[in-house]
Amino acid sequence: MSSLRALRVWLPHIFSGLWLLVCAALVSIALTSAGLAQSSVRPPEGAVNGDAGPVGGAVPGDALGTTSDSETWRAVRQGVAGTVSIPDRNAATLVQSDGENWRLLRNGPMFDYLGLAMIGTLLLLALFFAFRGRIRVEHGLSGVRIKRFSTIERTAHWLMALSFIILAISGLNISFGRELILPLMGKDAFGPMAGFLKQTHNYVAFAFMLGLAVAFVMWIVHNVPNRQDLIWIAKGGGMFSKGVHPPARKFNAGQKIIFWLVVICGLSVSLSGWALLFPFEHAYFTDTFVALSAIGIDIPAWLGLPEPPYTPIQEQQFNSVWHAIMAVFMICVILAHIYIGTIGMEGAYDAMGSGDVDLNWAREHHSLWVEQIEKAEARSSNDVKPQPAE
Amino acid sequence: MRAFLLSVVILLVIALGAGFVLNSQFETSAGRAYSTDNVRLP
Repeated sequence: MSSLRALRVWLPHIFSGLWLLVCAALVSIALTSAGLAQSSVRPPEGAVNGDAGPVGGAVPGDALGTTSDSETWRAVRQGVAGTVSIPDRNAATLVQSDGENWRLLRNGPMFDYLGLAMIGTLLLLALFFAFRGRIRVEHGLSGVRIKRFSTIERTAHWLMALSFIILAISGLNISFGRELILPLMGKDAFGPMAGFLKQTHNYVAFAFMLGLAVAFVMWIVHNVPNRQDLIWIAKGGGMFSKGVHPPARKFNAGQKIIFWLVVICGLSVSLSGWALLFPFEHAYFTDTFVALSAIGIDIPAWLGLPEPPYTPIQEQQFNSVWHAIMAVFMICVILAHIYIGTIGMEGAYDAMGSGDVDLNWAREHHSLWVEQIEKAEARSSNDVKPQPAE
Repeated sequence: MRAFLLSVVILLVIALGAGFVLNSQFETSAGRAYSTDNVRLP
């Protein structure tokens, strides 16, 4: 009885084992048949046998065109470009080491220094205001007004000024918004705002370029340096002491410095911005560095940069860094310009506000220009001689 | 004030015009930038 009970217990297990064996045999036969069927197809010439591994550092079939996988991946790591069939040719470069250097610079010390430069400028202006106070018209306002800037001149100025302020705010949001603004307003509000400002930055840039070009054409005649500028600079423009008013024409040396800084830096920031707006089409840095090296100025060696020519993506990285540096430098210069044109000097804002300035203000800050105007007026009044009655 | 308002108008016209031209003429869609009508043979 006990043997029958044991048989009843073990019989299902025995049948299960046998069933598994049969299944395994069937699967094995099926796989073998498939393998035989596949092997009956003649492989193409030069095909690589999947079982073959690298032998002695050589890749079987020379499929990779190099001696080993490590050679290939080392080249990829060092920035070798392959080939792609999509329009974005930059996708052919898988790893671009300079991109990491750019990222570290941009997200690290660069924005720290640029932020400190702007804060430092504001502190210096505040210190100057505390030390000097508002520069008053020493002889008081005369009540006589003379025309300083025409409507066209002021329109060009305000076009440039407004567009620059919009570009500065939107550009600073691109650079510092994530760290400074996002925590205050949250992602839901910051995202659309940042997107809108980015688009605005792209579009308003053209207005700035137009204003810059018009201002350059209109004012270059008045901004050619002359001997009086040296006297003006030697006396600090009368900015640091009361009762000192060095002679100046329509633009004094300080205004000429602002003019040329805005023109040169504005052109530079426009070109780098243009290259960022239309990417991979320009090689400004390669061209500039090569031209400068021809006259013995080796910028890449001074700054520890790789030697030109640069790849399109490197050009974009240089453009990005240069655009930010130039823009922040201009912001610092314009902060000083806004200060002296508003709270820093009595009567200065009228020149761009109404276009008319007080005669005493003009005599103190632009004495040679006032003399020119008075002489011209005297000449024109002498020319209009009374005609005898007939 | 007139010069200021005039500059605002000019700025708006240029910005809107630039936006229209950039978006309609120069923007490359992702579908075009990352697609190809070619094939690459090994």
